[in-house]
Amino acid sequence: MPCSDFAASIADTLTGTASAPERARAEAHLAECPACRANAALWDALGELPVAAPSPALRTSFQQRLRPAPAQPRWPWLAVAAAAAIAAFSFLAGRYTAPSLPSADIASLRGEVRNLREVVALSLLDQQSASERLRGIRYSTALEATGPEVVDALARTLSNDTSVDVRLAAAEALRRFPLSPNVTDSAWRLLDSDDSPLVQVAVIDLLASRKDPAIRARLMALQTHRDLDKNVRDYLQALLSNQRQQGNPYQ
Amino acid sequence: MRCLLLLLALPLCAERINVPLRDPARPALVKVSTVNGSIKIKAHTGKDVIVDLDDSPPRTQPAPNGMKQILSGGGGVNVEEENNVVTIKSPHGNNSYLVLVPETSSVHIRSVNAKELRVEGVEGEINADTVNGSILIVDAAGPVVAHSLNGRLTANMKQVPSGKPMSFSTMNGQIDLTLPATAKADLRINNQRGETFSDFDVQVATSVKRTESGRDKGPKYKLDLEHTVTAQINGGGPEISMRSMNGRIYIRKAQ
Repeated sequence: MPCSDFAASIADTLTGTASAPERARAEAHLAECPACRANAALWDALGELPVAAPSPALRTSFQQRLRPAPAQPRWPWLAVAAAAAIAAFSFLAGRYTAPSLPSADIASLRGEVRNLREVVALSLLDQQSASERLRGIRYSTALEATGPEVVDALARTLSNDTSVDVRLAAAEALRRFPLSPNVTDSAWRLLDSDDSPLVQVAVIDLLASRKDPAIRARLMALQTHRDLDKNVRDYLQALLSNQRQQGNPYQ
Repeated sequence: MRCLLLLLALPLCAERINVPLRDPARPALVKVSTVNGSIKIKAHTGKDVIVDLDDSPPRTQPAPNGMKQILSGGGGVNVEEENNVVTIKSPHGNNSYLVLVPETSSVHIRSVNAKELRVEGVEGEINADTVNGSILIVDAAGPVVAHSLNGRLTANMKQVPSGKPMSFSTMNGQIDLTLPATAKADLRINNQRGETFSDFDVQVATSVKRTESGRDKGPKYKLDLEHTVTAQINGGGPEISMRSMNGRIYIRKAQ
């Protein structure tokens, strides 16, 4: 009889419920296997341990637990104070032990908020009301940083809006942002196409604010453009003369 | 559901067109454009928009004895109504109009050589644009956006609408704006060769921009006084932008 078979039948053998042939084979194995004999002796010793009888007090304690709880706590404020203390402790423990939000997550949240603001600005720029479009332009200038969509929308407003006042506000707003070559080109075209000299002056201010020697050279050449409005020419000449007198450090 | 009403009025003198709105409970938007004629818009308590061609171009010669004028020479007028938007256009651009609108209406008026664009008592938004004429706005309660290249801009506001930016611009004209004494506003004033006056207690925040040159020699930095000056009256409020290149700007306190 192998050891594994004896282990499977040890319970029946020790309790005396095994059949006669099984008991004979188990006893033959125990006679020749010291490990299984020691194992059987252990189980015999465990079986000899006395079983503890329940004390008389156990029944009394059980009955007390079955009684309903008193309707009013003796010190209700104590329970409230304890709950508040536990809550405060839990909050502070969480505050000081929780891992801080990764900076990437914060940047992501900020990016989402910025995108939301950009969406609001873009939406306002499409309104029929000129006052609302002005609000959209001011909203866009309040953005700390913005994507190319807002700058492109401001450039479209500068080129196409039916209201001179809105175009003027767009030109002023664009001074805050870096301009792509396309936006700069469309600004140059406005000096030919926009029928308002006031807008042309605002576009000159926008281009001059770039501090770009190439733009300055082009503005110098623009002074002699024969189709330029007299007011615009006077303004441009005064602007360039003023820059020369101030010794523009960017040249 | 779209509702379109197209009326082609004959060029008769003293023509009056009554335009019912699709939904009188909603504010109307009235758009009027002409090239040479003047436009006068007045609020009334009725529900319709009424186009009156009484302000027809003046006759170059008086009518002969025993005769009266039957054609104005204004070239007719097109009036369209679509979903509370009333569009009034003159095919030849010579008509002058008197348009009565419900008080809550917004108006967009546009002309090139109008002697005057005038809007009275309108509570909605006013958007007025002309090249050579003046603009006069009386008792406005909504936001105003007005531009005249060469003419004078005069506006008298019953109130400064909360949260609604306004703007006035002109190249050669002057801007004369009257606000209630308690009006709160942020002002953006760009007045390059003119002067600005006010009897409000204006808190001016001069904007000076400092730019570092980054050079070892020569100027280390440059200070630019911005063209646009920002200021506040009564603690600040919605933005009012005023830009005149050659004209004066007046910001008056209503008496």
